[in-house]
Amino acid sequence: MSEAVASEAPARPGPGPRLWSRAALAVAVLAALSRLWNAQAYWPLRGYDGPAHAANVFALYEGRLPTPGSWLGFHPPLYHALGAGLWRLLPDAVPVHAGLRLLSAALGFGAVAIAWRVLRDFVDEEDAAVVAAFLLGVPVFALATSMVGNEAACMLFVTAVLARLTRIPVAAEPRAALGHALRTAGLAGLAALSKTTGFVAAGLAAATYALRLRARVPTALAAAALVGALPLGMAGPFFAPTLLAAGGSPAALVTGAASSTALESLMAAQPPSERFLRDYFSFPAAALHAPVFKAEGLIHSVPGLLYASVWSDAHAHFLIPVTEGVLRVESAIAWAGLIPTGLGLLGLGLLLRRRDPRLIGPLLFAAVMGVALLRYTWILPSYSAVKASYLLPALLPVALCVACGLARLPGGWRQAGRAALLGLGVAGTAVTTWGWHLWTQ
Amino acid sequence: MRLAAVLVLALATACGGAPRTPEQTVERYFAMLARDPMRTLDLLTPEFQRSHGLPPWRREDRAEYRARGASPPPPPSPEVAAEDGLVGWLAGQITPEVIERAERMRFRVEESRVGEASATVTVAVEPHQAAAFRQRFDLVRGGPAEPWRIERIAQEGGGGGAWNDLARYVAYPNEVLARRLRENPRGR
Repeated sequence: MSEAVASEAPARPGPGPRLWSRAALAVAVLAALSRLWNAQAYWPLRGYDGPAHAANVFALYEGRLPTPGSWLGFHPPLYHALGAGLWRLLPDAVPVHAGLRLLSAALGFGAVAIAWRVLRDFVDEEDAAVVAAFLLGVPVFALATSMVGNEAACMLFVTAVLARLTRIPVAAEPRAALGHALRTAGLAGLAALSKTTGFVAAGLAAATYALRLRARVPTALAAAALVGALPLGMAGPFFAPTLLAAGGSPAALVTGAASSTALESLMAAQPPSERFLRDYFSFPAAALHAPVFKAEGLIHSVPGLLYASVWSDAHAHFLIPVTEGVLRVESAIAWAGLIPTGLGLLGLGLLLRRRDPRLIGPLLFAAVMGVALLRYTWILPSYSAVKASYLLPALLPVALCVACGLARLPGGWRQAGRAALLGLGVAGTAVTTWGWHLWTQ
Repeated sequence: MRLAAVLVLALATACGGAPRTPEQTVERYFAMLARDPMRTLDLLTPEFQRSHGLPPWRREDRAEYRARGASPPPPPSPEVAAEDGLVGWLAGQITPEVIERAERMRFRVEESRVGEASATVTVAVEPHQAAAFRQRFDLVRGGPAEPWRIERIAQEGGGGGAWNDLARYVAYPNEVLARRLRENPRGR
């Protein structure tokens, strides 16, 4: 039941010892340099709700919480509080938005570092390094870590929670198991203080402790209660007033409609304005050959726009204006994205078949996040709601799927897979490095 | 380690260099405009944020909103209006035209009248490839130890036409000029 995936993985192929790890390190350094460049070069505050996140940071810089009812006043304050603290430390020579972007990058790289550490428990070191480096260049990750916003903070703490769920000390004394649960609960609390998604991680973590420790019912219940209650205690005081103002509706809270009537009206006005079941079963070719939201059929296709927003700047916040040249490059990346998508699906199939109990938490979290996003796009029929960046907290399960898919490939194919992932990591980093598209116009 | 972090934070907080005179506030406004827009925020009062009229959403979103003929949301509370105005203020500065022209804009203080709690600073603005104009800043402060903040901005001169409108918008982003520029997009 608990066999490691690595035990079934083929022996490590490759031209030389640690060659792939060194190549992966080079790709990671490239990604870090790209984020450093983007932090100061990308137009100030451009990105998903950049000015609204900046307003929240300013509120905390002034020592108050964001005004309830303001544009993003419903977001919990951890990222913005960290940003406000950083603002106090930054000299005038460093623009505040650049500091906030570097904070996003640091948090995102931290999440990948945790994922890399977990991957080494399941696949060999070379595959783990390759997949981690590849993740740093996936456009949805690269863009989120080049922008001001709380996505990366949530991704870091949720990844930390999910990583701990792979190492629940099932055979340990109750005291040790509860100590483990307490630390996980603290991280889940930080995740909930970063974004509402953190509560999903907390709920899933509580269920996972209950399930994994079920042989000792009192310990299982105590651990689950701890992991469920502590995040509520940490983030509840922030959310309770907003939730009450929303008439107790968590859906309204998540969409922002709870607090900002302007935001609600705007989101409702964005196309397509109405969702149909067929929107969930279509995948227009434009997702590959013109992966931006205005392309034919993409606004009406949830899977299509979701795929496009993983592999390109589908919502046109970064590679703007969207010229023919930009579209050609984005299309190439979107086509290449089929390789890791295929590896991920292969890995998912393998992981489901193996039923490794260590993976219950991460895989369940990914499933719940997927369903939650579909539900969100139904409640909020706007193209802005179909963004892969909302799924970034599921970084770890995605990384596990891709890594296990890669590890399963036979010798020569496995090397080709590693090369393809690293190549895509470099290409994704290059495409999401600010400025090239302006020089080509 | 923890002690060092606390000391650094305390030092940075203590050294936070807020402008001390109305002229310094205006100079900092021009220095940060469009290049470091977040650092303009503590130079401005909530009243200012309610007065420039820039809405928090993007232009293309507004167009979609109008095209759909959706009824406008109810008016927000004064606090929310100031916060939304703050978002609009930031969003209004981050177009490439504004960023590029802000870097090339020159200004000099012409006149300054300072009272106990209010002040007026008039500057001559020399934009790149557009007519010069004057910009008057009305500033207020809550008490002698409080920083000066800009409450109102008014402009004089500068001529007509889209390029001059754009130059004035760069020095003072506001919805009246933004609308004029949208209607005559040659300057954008």
